[in-house]
Order: sequence, then C-alpha cells, then structure tokens
Amino acid sequence: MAGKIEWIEDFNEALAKAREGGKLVLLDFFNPE
Amino acid sequence: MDAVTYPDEDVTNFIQEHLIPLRIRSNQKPLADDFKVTWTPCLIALDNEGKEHHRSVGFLPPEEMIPMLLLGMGKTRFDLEDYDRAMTYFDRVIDAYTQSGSTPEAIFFRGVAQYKKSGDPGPLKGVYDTLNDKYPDSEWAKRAQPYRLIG
Repeated sequence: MAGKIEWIEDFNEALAKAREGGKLVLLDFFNPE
Repeated sequence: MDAVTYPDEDVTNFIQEHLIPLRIRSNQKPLADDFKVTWTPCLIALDNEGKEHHRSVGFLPPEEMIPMLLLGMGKTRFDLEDYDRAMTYFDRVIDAYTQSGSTPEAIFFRGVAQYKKSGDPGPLKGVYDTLNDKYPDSEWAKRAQPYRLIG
C-alpha cells in the first residue's frame, strides 16, 4: 500500500526544511479548479 | 497527476525520501507570477534558496516522473557546480531509465559536467557519439552536433 505525499503549502517552510535536511524542493504549481 | 502519477508507490516513496514536496495553487500571488506559471501541471526543481533549476510543464506518467526528478536534481547540483553529485544523478537516469524522455538530456549534461570538472573536452565528443548512436532523433542529439568536431 502506497503512502501519501506529505505536501507542504508554505514556500518559506519548504525552504527551511530543505536547508535542514540537505534536500532540494519539488515545487508543484497545480490548478485548484 | 493526483489521479495517476502521485499515487504511484514508487513515485510517492521517491518524493518523500529525496525531496521536500511543496504545493502551491497556480493562481496564488505573488509566487505564480514570480515563477511565470502559465500552465499546469508545472513542476519546478528548486535549491534551498528557492532558485529554479529545472521545469516540467504538462502531465507526466509515473514512469517519466522519477527520471524527470533525477534530471532536475542533477541539473540543480550542476548549476551549483557540484559536478560529482550532478553526475551521480545523471548516471541514475542513464542507467535505469533508458526509455525515458529525460535520458538524452541527462546524457548531454553528464558529459558537460564531466568536461567542466576535468577540463578535458573528450566527454563532449562522447556525448555526441552516444546521443547520435542511441537517441539520434532527440533534440539533444542536435544540440550536441558541434561536439562531433572535437578530435
């Protein structure tokens, strides 16, 4: 059973986590409609 | 993407393990304008300062998602002049995803990264030879054409 992607919705929070974890960010712009 | 690609187990695990997943509505100001988003899905690889290094616009099926992400991770490291890590990502695309649309570009940048690291132009000729042999119809084979003249 696959897990779910735990999306972050705050730009600055994502960058902070990227710095903390030494990772890059995948930014997904999606159409909400 | 939500119906097909993101629920794929391999895709989910890869993103959770290797990336910080950030989701923003395409009409959210000012970010959508800052990144000049005009069509979705729009996936962008960012470094930890928020700078863009790779972009994919339009639907990607599960089998194309991981190689595209690896290519983006490689291009980010390439731009940051971390050529060893960049080549590691490009090699993963080249070795494991031979049928992917991302592979010719990975071959191209793998050779350029090797050249930038070593100063030896030989890998650029190798880029031309490999692309011409395995992916002759790709746009990256055309971009590598000048390298055929390297002796």
